[in-house]
Amino acid sequence: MSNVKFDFLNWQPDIEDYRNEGLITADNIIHSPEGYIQYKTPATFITSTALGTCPSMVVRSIGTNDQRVVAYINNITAAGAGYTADLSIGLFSSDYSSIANYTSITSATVGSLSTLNRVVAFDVCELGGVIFMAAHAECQSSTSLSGQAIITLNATGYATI
Amino acid sequence: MASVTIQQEQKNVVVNAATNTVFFQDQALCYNYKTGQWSRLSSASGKRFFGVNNSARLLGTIENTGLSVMVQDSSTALSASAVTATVVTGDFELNPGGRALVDGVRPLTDGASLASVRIGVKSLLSDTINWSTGTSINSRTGMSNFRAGDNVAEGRYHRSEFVFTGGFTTVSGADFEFSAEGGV
Amino acid sequence: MTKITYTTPAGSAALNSVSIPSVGCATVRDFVMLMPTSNRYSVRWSGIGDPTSFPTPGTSAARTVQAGEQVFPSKFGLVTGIAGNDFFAYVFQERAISKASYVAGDIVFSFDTFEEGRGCHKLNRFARIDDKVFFESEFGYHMVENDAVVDIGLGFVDKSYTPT
Repeated sequence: MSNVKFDFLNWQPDIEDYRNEGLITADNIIHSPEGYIQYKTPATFITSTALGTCPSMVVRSIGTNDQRVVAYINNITAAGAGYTADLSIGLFSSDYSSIANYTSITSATVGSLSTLNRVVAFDVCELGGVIFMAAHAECQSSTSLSGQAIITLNATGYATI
Repeated sequence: MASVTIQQEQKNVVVNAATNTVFFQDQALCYNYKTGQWSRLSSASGKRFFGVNNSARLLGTIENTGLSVMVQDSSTALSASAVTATVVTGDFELNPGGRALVDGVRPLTDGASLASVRIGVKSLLSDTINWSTGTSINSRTGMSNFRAGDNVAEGRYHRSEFVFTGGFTTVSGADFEFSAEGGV
Repeated sequence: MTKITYTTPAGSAALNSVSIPSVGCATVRDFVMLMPTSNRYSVRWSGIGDPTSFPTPGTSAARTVQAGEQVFPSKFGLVTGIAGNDFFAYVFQERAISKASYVAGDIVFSFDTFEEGRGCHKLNRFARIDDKVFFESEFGYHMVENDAVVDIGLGFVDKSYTPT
């Protein structure tokens, strides 16, 4: 009887299985110097219920306390032949139960309630006592092919810490 | 008017400096930039990522259900819900130039949540992998054995699969006990 | 390090617009640098130490506070990200990376393109930690450190999990 020890290293799906001296699957684990640790999700999700219909959201962390600044589209409201949508930037509460907005911008008429309303760019930085934010959203003006155009929403500016 | 396509939603790349990891939202990949090792988080695929600079909370995710959002912090605490984790090795030769019979496998982990271990065998590299039946861990030996009945892990090339359905702290490898056999 | 906690903004409309619609921003030394939608091949930066002030580039008001802009070759694609730190910034285009170094005077920043080929293929698909910047290109996954690109995904995940 012989023994051999196999270390779980080098997940390399790009390498053919028969030439792969490492792992071909390393799923829902994260490597650390001590070995792989398990990826878990909390038993209770926190649902941000105050937003209503929210087809798009991008979150960025800021500050050494990891506070979350969020750019999102919501408040989709029937208007004319379609809807209007808000692009908002805000600060998540520590338990994610609410967002306190820095700004909300309402669009021209968009075509649908769906995920064809997206935050396509969002970033934050800080300097000299302010948070600086830039968010850009694109929405489709109509669901019919002949009437399509892109409606853009943008919020770029700063807020005092 | 020509049809137009709006851009996709921004997909983040986030760093957790406490665990030396980078998470790529688009393909749900994770890279440890100190050890140079990759892995994938299939349970987070399709979710939005944001950074959490904390060793107890690895990664923030936002899950869509229709047009609603659920916001989560992933936690490494043992009390948090475990996600099924899978490790599969590549093909290896236990007995170079010959065949081998795997008697048992002992995974090197501190968790008791290993749901099953399987051994796959091939005679030729071009063969389709032939998997054994999954076996559980013997509580005294810590070994999964492949001796009984039809559950024999004999071949020229071997591959092993480990599935964890509960929690563990770390898993680093496995010990294989095997017997060398003839070359044909 | 003192932890900074941001206070909840009182009411909405607490954002002070700078009237330069942008798709990204970064802190670079004592400046805020933007990616303006008016010219997606350029970056524009604020007055020194004043992220609230963006005088029109090329004017005496801009020169006084060292505000300015830089336009990049369009052959490398749109500007897709700025990774700044206390000393310099990496400016990503879709197919190139340039280093922005502070030189003061009328120039303010000099830009040197050190990578032609691998860039950040989609908006803001990067993250910075210390002197390292991790990013996604159309080819796979990379890290920039010390003005050199390292292919961290080559032979590992680039082919199986190419960024989309």
